[in-house]
Amino acid sequence: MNKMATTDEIVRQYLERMGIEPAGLVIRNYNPEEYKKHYSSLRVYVEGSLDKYKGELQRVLWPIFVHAYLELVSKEYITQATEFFDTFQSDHSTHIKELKSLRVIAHAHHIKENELAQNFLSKKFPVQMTNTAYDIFIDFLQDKSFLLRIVNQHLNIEVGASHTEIGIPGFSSQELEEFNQQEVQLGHMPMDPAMRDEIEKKLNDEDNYRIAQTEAEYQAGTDDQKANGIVYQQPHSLQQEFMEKVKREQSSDAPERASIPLPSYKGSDIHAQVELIKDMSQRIELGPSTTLPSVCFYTFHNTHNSLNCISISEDSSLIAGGFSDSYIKLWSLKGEKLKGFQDFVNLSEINSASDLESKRENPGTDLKKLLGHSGPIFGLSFSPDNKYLVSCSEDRTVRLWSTDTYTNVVCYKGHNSPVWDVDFSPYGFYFATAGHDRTARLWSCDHIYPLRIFAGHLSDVDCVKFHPNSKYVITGSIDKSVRMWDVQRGSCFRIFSGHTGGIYCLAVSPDGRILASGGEDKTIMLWDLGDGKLLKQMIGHTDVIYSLDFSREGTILASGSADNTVRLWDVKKGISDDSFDMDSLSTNKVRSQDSETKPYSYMKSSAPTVIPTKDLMTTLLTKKTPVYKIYFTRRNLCLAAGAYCASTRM
Amino acid sequence: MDKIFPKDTIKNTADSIGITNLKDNAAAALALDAEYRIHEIIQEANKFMRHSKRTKLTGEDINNALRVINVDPLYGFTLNDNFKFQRTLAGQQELLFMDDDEYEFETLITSPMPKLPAEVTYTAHWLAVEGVQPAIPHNPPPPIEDTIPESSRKKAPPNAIVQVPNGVVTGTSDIELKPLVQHVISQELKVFYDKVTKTIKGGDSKMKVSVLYSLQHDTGLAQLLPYFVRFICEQIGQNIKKNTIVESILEMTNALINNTSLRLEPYLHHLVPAILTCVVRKKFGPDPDYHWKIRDSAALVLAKICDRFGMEYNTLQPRVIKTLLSALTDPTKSLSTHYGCIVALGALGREVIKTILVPNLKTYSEILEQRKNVDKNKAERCENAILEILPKLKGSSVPADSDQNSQISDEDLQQRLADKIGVHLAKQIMDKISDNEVIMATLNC
Repeated sequence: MNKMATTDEIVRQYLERMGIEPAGLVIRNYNPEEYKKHYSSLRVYVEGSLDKYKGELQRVLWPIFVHAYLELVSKEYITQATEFFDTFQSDHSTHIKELKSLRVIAHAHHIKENELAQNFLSKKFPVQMTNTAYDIFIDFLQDKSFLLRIVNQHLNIEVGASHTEIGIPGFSSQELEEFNQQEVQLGHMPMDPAMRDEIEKKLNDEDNYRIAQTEAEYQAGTDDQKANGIVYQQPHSLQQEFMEKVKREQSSDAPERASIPLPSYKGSDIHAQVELIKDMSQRIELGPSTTLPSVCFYTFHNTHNSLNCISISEDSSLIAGGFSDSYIKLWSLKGEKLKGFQDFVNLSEINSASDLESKRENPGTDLKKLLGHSGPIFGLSFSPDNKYLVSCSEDRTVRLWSTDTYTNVVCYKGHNSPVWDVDFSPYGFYFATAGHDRTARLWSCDHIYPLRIFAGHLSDVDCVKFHPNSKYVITGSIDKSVRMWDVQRGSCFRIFSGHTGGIYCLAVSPDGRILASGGEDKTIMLWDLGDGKLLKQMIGHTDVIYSLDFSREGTILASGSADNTVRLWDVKKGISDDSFDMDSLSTNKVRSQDSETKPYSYMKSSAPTVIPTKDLMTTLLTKKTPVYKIYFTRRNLCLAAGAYCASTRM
Repeated sequence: MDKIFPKDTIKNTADSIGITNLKDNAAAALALDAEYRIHEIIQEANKFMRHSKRTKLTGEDINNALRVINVDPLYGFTLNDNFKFQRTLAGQQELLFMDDDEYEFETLITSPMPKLPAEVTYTAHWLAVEGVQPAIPHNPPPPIEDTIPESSRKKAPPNAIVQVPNGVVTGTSDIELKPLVQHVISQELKVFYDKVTKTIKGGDSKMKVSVLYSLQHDTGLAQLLPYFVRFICEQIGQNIKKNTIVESILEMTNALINNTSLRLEPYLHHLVPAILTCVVRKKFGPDPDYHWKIRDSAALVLAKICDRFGMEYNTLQPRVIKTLLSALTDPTKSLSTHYGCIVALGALGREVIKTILVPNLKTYSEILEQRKNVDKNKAERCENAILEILPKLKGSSVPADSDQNSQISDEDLQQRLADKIGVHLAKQIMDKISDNEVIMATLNC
């Protein structure tokens, strides 16, 4: 209350200096264009403010927008009011209900009847701000009597109020809940019927071949074996496997094939699918009660802090590292030599595939260095068919590399700031990028310009991940929110807020229902994509989280962090058995307050002893190696990678 | 808002580029703006640091940040990350500057090229096999608290268990109790422990010597100490009637006390009662004469304990003495117990003999006289023990009037002695101790 008094005092002083009688506060006859001008100047100002205060400053936009509109209407500048409304309503897309209600106000006398308008006019709109943000804001208002008047009349700025509310400014939790009720299609995309038939045929052949082989083996087996009671066993049918695990009946919420155009399938796609089924039949079933995963760790040496990101190909044959020295390095995980083509290949000599093979390097090299970018590499992603690698960099470009020739194929320019992350679509052909310019973009390999621009995050978009059905793109930002975008429509369908720090990594469960997000606040959050609600928080890491991945059944979540650990989490615990313990909630409360005061605390010493939530199954320590990447292979082997950090001094 | 940049800094900067008449309010405004810009640059640079998965901000990050906000990067600050600012005084102002080394171009190009940095490589290992971390050199050793099972790590709240006088433990039913063993003993130590206990229980004498030597001198036994103490207490309790190995146990105790690297203090409350038992117990095994020896050596061990830890625990020795004395003056106790008390009190040193034993001899003398008729053998043992102890008093007090003393007749002396320590004992002393000095010392107590 004390603060309030001083606020009024300050505002009054300014008003006096401005020559406006504070008692009267007469609405001067402003030119209707003024409204637009001043509102956009405020918008520009808020947009350009520091990330730290942006969220708080953003809160004043909505009430000022409403009051500006109401004033325009009350002065019968109807056309200008409509214009003003149309121009800026997109800023407040989350206030859908209120916008609809405001839209209908077209006359001064409407205002008196309209409940919402009366609400706004009768009460001062409460806005919470910290001291610093308030100082900045008042500083900005100093020579803007127009805005100052609205602020003074209609806003109730509570300075220094504790910020218990976390999340998107301008969204009340109720509005957010409503927003997240929009219908989404999370089912798997049905397979092309022709392709499915072909795969089934192929698998049938394969099954027959395997049965024949086992029978032959059995026949060849000695009598001893038969005497020992080794019974003939029918090999597991791949076709059956396919029916069980891949060929799902079209669920009600599956997207239509037509919604995401893909190039027609090729012979190699069929082959890849058959390989996938084979791998699936050898998959180890993982679960918190059955078997925990085995983790293979790749430690990178001599990186001198220059390794920025790591990616592992879908078939786990290649590992790629992006360096701050602008190059990408590719290694084979199979221990084979990598063979590119000779420097000069005379195309006229090439008549057949074997001719081409003969032009390959011999003996090849252990690693390939991909040169092309002119700035640090921040993101890498392999295409699902392992033929391409896409990389993004500080130099604002995204590049597509062939893992056959080890050369740059395409350079995509579109982002106008550094690009932080890139992810290939699970069906190939498309990829999504996230950048410093606060947008995420959708690209297809065959177009050098973006197909969609996803704009809405208040700050840098730090990570991007495709939904398994390729219909959605999920982005995480330093503005502490996670958003899900429809690829086709380019609009936002879900906003998840709850993190107390920037988001660094995302993972979607293979069934497409659960989203995991982790980042600066050392907490992993699980979200239900269907109803847009928080399922649970997983606490245990003592430093920022770099990477997340679900096991192929979606029962186990693995996380890699800067605290030099890989942790394995039970996904179901605390969700299905309703034993969501209050402990974790209370500890989290403590933690969130802590991170509020020290938002950028990286120092180990300041890390409080974290009491892990009960769903933490195992903590696997590495030797001074932060874990950059976690990846579950198709056979459910967990691969993890990181760069050894020799020096412990900060 | 906290002001990081005072306007003086702005004025200094202005001075350095030739603007000398910068007004105060202009400087203040500039300071505010400079601070905002620096915040902005750091915010952007921080993003680059995070995406490079580093925890240390580098010059390169700052340059990338500058590029992002369309400012020319600062060249020449990215090669070396270890900048050291130095302080200097310019006039009244303190300034910070960086040391810029000067290089001779000639020497720079003629000097050999530095070695190429090692190529980036990777190694693979199993971080976990089915969720369990294998103990291979690639993995760090597990932290100690992780070897304790999850259940035992949680301490039951201190007030959850209420020890009721009748020995019934009440409390909530789901209390997780700590297991007794909280640390894991290495295989080597386990083998060593087995070897020691086996030898003490009955190994050959050669082996025993080396085991005792090891117990007395080895420095790495701290972990086993609680087990040894338990072993000693148990063995004394079980074997005191058979008394065959009690001597070995006492030797072992002695060795542990002598080992300077061990901290026995926390275990004294177990050890002392066990040793005291050896000193004052009424009956030992079948051999009628063997127990005297054990009482002797136990008394020595007891004295050693009091000697070594008496300083630290000043109640230790008084408590031991009190126990011994009450046993000695109790006529119902057996003479073998009395013998043990006498020996032990004697072993505790001259001061104890002087202030505790001798003043009580008068009462004891009567007990002894009565008992002598019943059990002459044992009573004589006690007498002899006293007679052996008394010479220790020699030289304690300088007789004030030695000339006078020498003139005292034997009868007179015996009379005075009898007053002091009882008729019976006085007679024995006069008979068996010829040294006048001992008698005088006894008298002077």
